[in-house]
Amino acid sequence: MSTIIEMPRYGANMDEGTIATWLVTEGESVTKGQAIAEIAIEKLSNELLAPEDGVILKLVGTEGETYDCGTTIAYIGQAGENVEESTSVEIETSNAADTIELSSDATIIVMPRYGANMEEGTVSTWFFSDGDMVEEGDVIAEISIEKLTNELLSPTAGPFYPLVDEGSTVKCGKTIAKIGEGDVAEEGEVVSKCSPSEMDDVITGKKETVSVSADSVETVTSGCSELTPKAKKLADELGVDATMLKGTGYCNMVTREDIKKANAAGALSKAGSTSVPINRKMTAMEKAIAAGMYKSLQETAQTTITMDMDVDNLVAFYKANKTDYAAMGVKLSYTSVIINIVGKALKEYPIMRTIIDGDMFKELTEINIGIAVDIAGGLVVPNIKNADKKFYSAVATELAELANKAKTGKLLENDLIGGSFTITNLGMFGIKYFTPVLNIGESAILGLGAIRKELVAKKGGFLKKKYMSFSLTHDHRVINGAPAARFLNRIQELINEL
Amino acid sequence: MARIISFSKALNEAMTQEMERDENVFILGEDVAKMGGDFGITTGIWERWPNRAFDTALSESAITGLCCGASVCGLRPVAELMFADFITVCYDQLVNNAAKLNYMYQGEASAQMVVRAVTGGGIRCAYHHSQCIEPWLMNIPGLVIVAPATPYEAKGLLVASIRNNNPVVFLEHKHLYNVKGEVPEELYEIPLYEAHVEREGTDITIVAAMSMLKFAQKAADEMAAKGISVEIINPRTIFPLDKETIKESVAKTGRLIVVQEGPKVMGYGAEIGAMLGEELFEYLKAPIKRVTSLDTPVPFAPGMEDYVLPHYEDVITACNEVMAY
Amino acid sequence: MALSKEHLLKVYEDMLLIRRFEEEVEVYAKNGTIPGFIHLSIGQEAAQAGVVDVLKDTDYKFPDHRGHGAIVLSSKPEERKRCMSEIFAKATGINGGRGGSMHVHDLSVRNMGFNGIQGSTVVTALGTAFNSVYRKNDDVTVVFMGDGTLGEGTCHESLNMSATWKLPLVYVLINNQYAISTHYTEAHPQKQLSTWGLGYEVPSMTIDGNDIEEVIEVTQQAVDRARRGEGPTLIEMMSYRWQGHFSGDPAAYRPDGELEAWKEKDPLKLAKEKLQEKHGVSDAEIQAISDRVEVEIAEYVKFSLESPVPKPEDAVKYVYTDREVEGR
Repeated sequence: MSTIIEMPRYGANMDEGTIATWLVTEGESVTKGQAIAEIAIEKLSNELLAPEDGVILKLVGTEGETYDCGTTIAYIGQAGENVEESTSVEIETSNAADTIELSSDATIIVMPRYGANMEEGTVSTWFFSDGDMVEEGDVIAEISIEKLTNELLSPTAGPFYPLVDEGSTVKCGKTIAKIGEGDVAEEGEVVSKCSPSEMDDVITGKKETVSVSADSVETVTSGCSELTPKAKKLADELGVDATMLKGTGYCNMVTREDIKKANAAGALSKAGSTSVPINRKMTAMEKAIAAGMYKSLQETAQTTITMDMDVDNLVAFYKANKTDYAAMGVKLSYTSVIINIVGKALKEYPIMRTIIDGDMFKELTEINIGIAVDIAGGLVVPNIKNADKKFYSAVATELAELANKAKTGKLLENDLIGGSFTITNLGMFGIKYFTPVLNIGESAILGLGAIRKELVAKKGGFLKKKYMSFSLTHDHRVINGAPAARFLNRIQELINEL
Repeated sequence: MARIISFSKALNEAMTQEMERDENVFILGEDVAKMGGDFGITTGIWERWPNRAFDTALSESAITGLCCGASVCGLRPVAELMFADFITVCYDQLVNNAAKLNYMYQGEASAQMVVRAVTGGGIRCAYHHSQCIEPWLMNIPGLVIVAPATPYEAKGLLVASIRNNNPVVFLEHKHLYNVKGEVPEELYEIPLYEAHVEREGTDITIVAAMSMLKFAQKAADEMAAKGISVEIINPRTIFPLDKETIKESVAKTGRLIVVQEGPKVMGYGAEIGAMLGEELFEYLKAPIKRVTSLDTPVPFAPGMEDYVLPHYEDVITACNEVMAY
Repeated sequence: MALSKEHLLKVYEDMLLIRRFEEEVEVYAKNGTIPGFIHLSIGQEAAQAGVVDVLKDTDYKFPDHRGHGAIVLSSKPEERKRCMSEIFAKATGINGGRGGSMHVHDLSVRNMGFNGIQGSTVVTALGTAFNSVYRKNDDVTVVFMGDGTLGEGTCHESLNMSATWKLPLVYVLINNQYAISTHYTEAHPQKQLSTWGLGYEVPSMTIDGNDIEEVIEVTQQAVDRARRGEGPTLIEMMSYRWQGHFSGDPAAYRPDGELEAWKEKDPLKLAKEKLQEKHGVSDAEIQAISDRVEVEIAEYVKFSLESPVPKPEDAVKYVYTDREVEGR
């Protein structure tokens, strides 16, 4: 009798693994404890050991593919033995119907769960009736969830039998139909029913019908955030990740109360320690960022110098003026003021905005200062055009608008092209120094650190001063250390002149 | 079939069709019968039903008192207050009588009456003919204050008000009388106590009633051009307020601006602001803003009146402020 | 108009009932069983009993705030104890404890309830009178008011409108001399307040409000006139309240001897003398009436004391006809 080898689970957090390499071939004899495969989980790899002495009968899993833990990936047994294809439970991630094979002659179809918040769905239409033959992939039903409708695909071929009426609302995971002639053990528990005419109202009436595929259901939202602002603050204070909680607030938002309860119950993980290992396809944006970062470091001679700027004057300026600007509807920020200052300095230091084009030095004449914005899907760098010519209010307003557009995905192409210098700020995280990576097509990028208070020895006593560390990465092919340092010193002077 | 008619005509149609339907409905007030009302809203009713349309003496207490008594007998009076400001001289009947009858009679009878009151400023008629009076009535449990903003609402809400068994003060803003819009010919009701989401958005909620709705709509357009998405809530019934609709919206946007024509103190903006501070604090991303008149009487001179009434620019400033916070 | 012996006996018993009702209410108000304050009408029984005696169940009655008597007598005999338990703030009260002394009503006999605002029902009564015209029936509306009420502007609006539209309305102005502490001659220029109605061309008269026979005669004429569609009448009924403005008011503003003089004109005493002198009613018959009334009143008091208090949370009921108000 053959033994199944499953994708192993190396830790409680592991849900799936990738077969990096098979170390054996079909028909090969192995001894118990011998490594038969290398399994990759994120950045780690582990050896999969043979559970017993025997012959590798069959390698079901393919190299490079990812399987859920517990999935059969190989069979081991005695030489000449046949593999017993078992009644394995398959879990599909496509929008084919979730199935549970109860017996060899009937496949149960259950109400699918299209998203974490979905608890029940309504069968708005059956496209086949009793005994109709269906093929795998046929659309067998339309399932509606609140304002959305979704198509349910047949997981297999065979005679089709609906087990609940159209209009029935059924909890996710409960049986709604079967394919095949066999008996079924469990019938769907119908939560509620409405007449076909009422269904028309629900599906095609006043409410908007949106047809989406299963994997995009979650991205169609009503514009609500996941956490209330105060809940987010509490989560930050507690240092916990509350995004996985089921919210009880308006729009299913997670509330302070939800976090307090879950935290008291010890149900929250520390922020940053996601319970599911990242193992997914990169988005187009992520690919672009990865390629860009690599290219930048490959093609330039980046070096970073840092300077502790005395920002007493900057803080004083900000505090003295923010209220007046607020009255004008302008939200002044340290970053916005620094953009103005850097704009001025850049005007005086064309070298800082000179790039290599083939065998030419080329000055970028427009002073368009890019700002790195951290967004949900990655990082974008829209730029403020002609920053040297703008007032504090204009820069502050534009900065706020660009950040908002970036976060809501409304940036236009023009916002993103034409940059000549970039500013990136990690000060809000308490970072002092860092080595920013050049934005491609530019020769310098300025990293802003946190403002901090320090005691400085002065004439036999101490003076309380505020400092902010500036980290300037420059392309040494164009800009040598001295001009870069002079540029930073000029910025200090401009701050002092505020 | 819907056709385009004015707000005034929609009101007239609501009363006419309700009088055709229910002989308990009658109208009374100063000049509402033969003249058809000072603003012409009841035109043609007396000609059709001379025994169901009554011109009265200048006696607002007698008019509203009569409504209370008659409604307890099962009639459905629709009275007109030529200017809502005159409500002060019949305040007792509305506050101490109409609002309490159902309570006193424990549901056996109630003041099933409508007092149509012509409200709002901007017509250069100074402080006795221009006030927004809803705050004066908003802490009288038992009363209902209805405030349509469009011809469609004018008809549907007036029909619902006439059929409602509570005393309804039905506010008609002078500036809306000539506004035209689509109104179905057939009788229909728009439910009371339900606010209407005029436009969906994700960044800012603006609550605006009656003539202030147009400010909100214009501001939403202007903000949309800047990438800011504004959701507009028209309360329709100002009291009792549809708190849930407002809360659902503000929970989503986290930012609220209330635009009200009357003075800032104790208007519906104050009530909504306090309610959200109490019940939705957790969801707020920025302070609640109110765009209102100044806290003065409404002056006569056009320049002065314009200075006092709410400015459209203030709505934009408020939008910028809540986004920048 | 002389009443028949039987009629006079009936209204004598009515008056005695409301006298005793008020006396018992006063006892329980003073010992703190009845919360709040109470306006008693001892001394004014003839005006209340006489007017109610003339009216049909389908006529609309708006008693004034010193009107327990009119309320009790308008109510069906089996409902009268509920008038008292309402004043006792009990769940069995005719308003379930919501109204108390100033807001007792019974719509089944068109007792429209009264009101804590002087002059308020004077205009509300226009509505019920208007209803009779609108529906073309002969129901009459009677609104009770006092000498103090006449200071309210609504009295003018009401009389003007009812006179113009010839509404079937009778204004019963019980002049008990004082608006709290202010004598009517100090607040109004007319020697007889009824003359005020003449300015609106409303038939108006002043009568002895303590003489039950006169009250019934004049009220009957006014009600008949209203039923014929000839419009309103104003009757000023001169009387006197024996107690202060509210139960517990020592009424120090009254001159010495005034109360004693009016007690000589006690409407019950006058009626009893007529019964005994004109109709030969015996002491035993008078005693029998008194005994019946005592049994009746004792039952009201027992019922009121034993009734449960209302559920506090019921306070949120009936604010609107069609929506709930949030409770605690």
